[in-house]
Amino acid sequence: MSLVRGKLLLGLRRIQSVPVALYHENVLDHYENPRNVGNLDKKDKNVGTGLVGAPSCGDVMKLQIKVDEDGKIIDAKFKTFGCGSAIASSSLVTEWIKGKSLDQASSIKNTDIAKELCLPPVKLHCSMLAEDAIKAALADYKKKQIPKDG
Amino acid sequence: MNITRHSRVLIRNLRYLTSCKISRTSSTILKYYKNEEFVFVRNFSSVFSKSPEYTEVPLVDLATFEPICAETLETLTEYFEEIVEADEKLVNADISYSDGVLTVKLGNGYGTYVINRQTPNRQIWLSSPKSGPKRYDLIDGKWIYKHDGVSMYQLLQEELEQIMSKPVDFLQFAK
Repeated sequence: MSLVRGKLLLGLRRIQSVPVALYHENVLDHYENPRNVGNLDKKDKNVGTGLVGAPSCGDVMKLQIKVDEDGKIIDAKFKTFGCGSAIASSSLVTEWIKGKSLDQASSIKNTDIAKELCLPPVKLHCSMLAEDAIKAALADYKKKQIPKDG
Repeated sequence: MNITRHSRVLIRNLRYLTSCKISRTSSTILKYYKNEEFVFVRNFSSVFSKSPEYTEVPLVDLATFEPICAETLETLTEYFEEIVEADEKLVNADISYSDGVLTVKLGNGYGTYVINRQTPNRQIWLSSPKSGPKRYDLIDGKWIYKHDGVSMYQLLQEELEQIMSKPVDFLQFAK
């Protein structure tokens, strides 16, 4: 009886020591080698900045896009403080939106992100945050294009 | 019997330890952002709200939030247990509630609902296998998703009545 219990406890401890195994490999890939981390000049007229999340809950995502004259996204950078899934979600979307038009970028859905990263139910919120970040960046860029003199 | 109880205690302790860890890291995040001189807009996502009257809602105070939130989650746990048990096709379903997190595994390919307390922004977060993630704010005693103005009970009613073989009534909890 005690032998069985010992085995069970050992099993539990093993799970406890490697929580990293709970993340899907696609998340780990982006988490360990995040793409496009960094900043763009937020004062630049062709740069849109989106900042979403609340620092009090530990998830903050900043996403910046640089758009050329043809309305194409030529560069994207992100900085995220949060869980592995939040970092992976923002890293993934910077990859996706590069080279896309503004409309194409705004059509990216949280479900696409969640599917690509195989996020579990409780982590779907991270993909939603990434979708919100794109929308915020696009909104900021569009706001900058409106002439101020009017 | 003894073994299961033992492991349950272990898991509970583990959960507590993890939550301590999280709260410590979030304070460092705060500091870092202060250094970078970022201006924060709380609930930024509400900018995309279709109902502008909901955008400027002040944070509900903790004393109001906590009991209502606890009551909501406990009520939902009980009701989910009741309706899932009464449904013959959901034999593999599993419902658990612990430390503000309600997990409803429906099984049979119906997916998992996760409904959890999010105290820092006074919200309840819901993750639906049908419609994805949503964040509910407490507005006039109701849990409302600011993006579309739909209440949590409304959403659960619409989705669960399609899954369950018998009629469900989530709207009875909406005051």
